[in-house]
Amino acid sequence: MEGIRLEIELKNVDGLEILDAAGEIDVYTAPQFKEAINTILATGQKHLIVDMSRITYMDSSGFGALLSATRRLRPEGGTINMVNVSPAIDRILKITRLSSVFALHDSLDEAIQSAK
Amino acid sequence: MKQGHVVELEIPSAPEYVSIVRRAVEGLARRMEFSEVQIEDLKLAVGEACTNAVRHGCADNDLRHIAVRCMVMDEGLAVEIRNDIRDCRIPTVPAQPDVTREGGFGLYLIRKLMDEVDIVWEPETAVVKMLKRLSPTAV
Repeated sequence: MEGIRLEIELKNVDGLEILDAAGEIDVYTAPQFKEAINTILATGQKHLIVDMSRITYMDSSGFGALLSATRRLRPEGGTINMVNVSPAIDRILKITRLSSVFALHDSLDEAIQSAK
Repeated sequence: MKQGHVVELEIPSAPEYVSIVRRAVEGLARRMEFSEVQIEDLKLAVGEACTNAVRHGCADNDLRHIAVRCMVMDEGLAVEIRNDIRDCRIPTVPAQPDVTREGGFGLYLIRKLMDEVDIVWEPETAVVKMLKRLSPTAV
């Protein structure tokens, strides 16, 4: 079934590690998502950028992984940046008011500029 | 699809099966001609209920199961998620989730996205009963 798994790629753009994910983030795949986040944080990068263009579903398991990263980054002045979230995920971020915690961007360029 | 038609599904209480339930509910909702937004709401609410059952089922063996019962109704789709519990506390639903903490979003979202929600807490069983109306009243 297409999209049922989570595929993650870390790519370096302009010196920043970008988490590029495709598929669904739920209770099964969230540990994989969290591991990728931790890999980036372990480099000392202050700003996390997640390209959400190909994420078709994300529930509280995924939000939890991002909030965990927020707790680590905020004291250092770091931010969580989500790029191109789907309308469905955007709606849930607004309902939970997590849209006030994460920075939402329409393009990867915009997210990279804000993280520099 | 007719009023009273029931689709039942039983899955092992393990993370890898939750997406199967979401897909079954999505298929039903599409047949019933819910809107795309309503279908996403149903998938998320059912996914959160199953996730809670997997995480907090509190049973002590590997043979735990989650029973999912979907009933087609004239007014919408009713879904029940039932799982065994042992020595669990009744969950509280926050009025607003704490965005500084990781937990507490699941039940909040279920309440927000579904039109009716009833959590039944029996000595050894927890049941989350939800209804999504074809004419929405939820957010």
